[in-house]
Amino acid sequence: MSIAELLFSLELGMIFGIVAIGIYLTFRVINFSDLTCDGSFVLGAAVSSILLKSGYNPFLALFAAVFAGVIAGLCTGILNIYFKVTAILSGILIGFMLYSINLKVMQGVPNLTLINETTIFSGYNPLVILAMVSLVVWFIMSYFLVTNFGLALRSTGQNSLLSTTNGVKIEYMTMTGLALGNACIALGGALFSQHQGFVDISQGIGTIITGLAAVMLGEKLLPFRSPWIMIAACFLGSFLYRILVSYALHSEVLGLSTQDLNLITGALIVFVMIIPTRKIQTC
Amino acid sequence: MKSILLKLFIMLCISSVGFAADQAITKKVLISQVIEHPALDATTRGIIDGLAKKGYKRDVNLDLRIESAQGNASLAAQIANKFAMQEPDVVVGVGTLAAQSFGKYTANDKVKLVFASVTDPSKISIKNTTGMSNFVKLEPQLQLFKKLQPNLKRLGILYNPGEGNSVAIVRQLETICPQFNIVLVKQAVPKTSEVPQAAKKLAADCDAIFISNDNTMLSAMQSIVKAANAKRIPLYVSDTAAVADGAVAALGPDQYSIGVEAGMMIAKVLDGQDITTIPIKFPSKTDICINGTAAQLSGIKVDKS
Repeated sequence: MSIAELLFSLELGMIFGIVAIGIYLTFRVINFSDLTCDGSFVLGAAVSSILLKSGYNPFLALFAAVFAGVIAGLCTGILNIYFKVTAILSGILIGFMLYSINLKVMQGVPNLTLINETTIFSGYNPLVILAMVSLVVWFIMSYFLVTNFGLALRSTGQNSLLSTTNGVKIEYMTMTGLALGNACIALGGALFSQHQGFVDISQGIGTIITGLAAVMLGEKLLPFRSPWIMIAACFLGSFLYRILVSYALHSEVLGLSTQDLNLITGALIVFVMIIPTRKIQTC
Repeated sequence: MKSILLKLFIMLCISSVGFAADQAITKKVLISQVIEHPALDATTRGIIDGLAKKGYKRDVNLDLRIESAQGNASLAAQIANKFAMQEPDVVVGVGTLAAQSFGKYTANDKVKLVFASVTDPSKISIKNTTGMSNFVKLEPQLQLFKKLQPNLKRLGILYNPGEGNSVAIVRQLETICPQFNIVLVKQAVPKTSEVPQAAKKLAADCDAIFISNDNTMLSAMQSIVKAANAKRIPLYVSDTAAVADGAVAALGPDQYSIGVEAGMMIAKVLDGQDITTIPIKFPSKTDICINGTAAQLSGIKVDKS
């Protein structure tokens, strides 16, 4: 594997690290198995692309994507809390419906190119831009989680009974967690489409697997409870995931072919997961 | 002892390098295919055969590798990056998504891209790029349908709204159909598993069903054939290879010959021709292919003309 491939893994790792933070917020922080992500990833990409195509500032397009992600997350929350649909089903339903919404956003065209549009990467080294965006997201999310409000949010996932008795409104917290999580995922989608120069309606397939694998790998590598480290672990896990995929892509020397790729990537992840590590430290 | 072993090992390494250099592998072609699918696999097979026709034989004087992105956009990006780093003579994108993922590298003059099976080439950056579209002109197809079925009034089309290729074709059909006095009945189906229901509904509402190179529909051909046969209406396709599966007629190339033509374009680039002088091509050779038994079943009389 060459240095250039390693650097590219780092770039993709940072984009999907932001997605992993979204997954971490829902699956871990508020303990809600949210499957909206396959839809909200494309939603972010679609919203940002269509704004770029109409000549808006690329950073504004990113903010719009984040806003769209918030709405998607809130919809899942509303289904779950006010209409008592189970967590998994409400996520799947919203993700499923988002497919049509995304097509609408993209004006009926399932594949848009951004070759001639100015993106946040035009004229700069993508690595630098992504590092800056990642740092900002890392700081905001970590800082948010250590505030009093963030503590209340974390408590709902850890022990909802305890937080209810301490006056935390579980409903609002779940909504906040879902909104923030999907905002991160949509941001990841928007960054991915600007980075790659196109958006495709099928782009979101496998977001959940990539994100969850990254979260778990990160937890394995950095077993600490501090939000600052946990959020950083999402990036680290995502980076490692991309390197594993890169390695798997080079497995032709072993006589394996492309259709074995998922198997190899999966096996590598399992291998990392079963390496024994020390117990979670509180700090 | 240890040092002897080490020397032996080093010698082995050197000799293996020597062997590799002995073989006359001179050119490197890397193919990225968007997903494993019969139609796209046929295109890739065609590319390999097209290259062989021009004297570039796989594993003889050509280092050719194929990766599939398995329908995953981020995987396509990683494959494109890996390919670009290996300094290939030509990279090949089979399918729109795979071709698009090379966009960044063609723009920096890192690679030369030849695409295949892309219906709308305007989706792909023009720099350092050429390729073979699979777009078949729609007018001659409609003429053929009218000839086979003079009382054709309502033409149903089944397509996946998630496939760029199909949406482009449906939009064109919408403007062309009125010229032929045909009402276009659109039926979008996002998944293969939903095809049977949609095909049944559509078959009850039109005089003929048309599928135009839609990968999802071609995967679920048998469901559509069944629905069409039940209502005794003909099923038209654009891929001649699909006629054997029960369609009544097709006017077009097959995906394999599109691959062969793309392979020949790649050979031109390998021969040293400047890629900017090779124009993007559309299928030139189209054949009419008619399935007699399927035609009889839907009550269509075929005369030899």
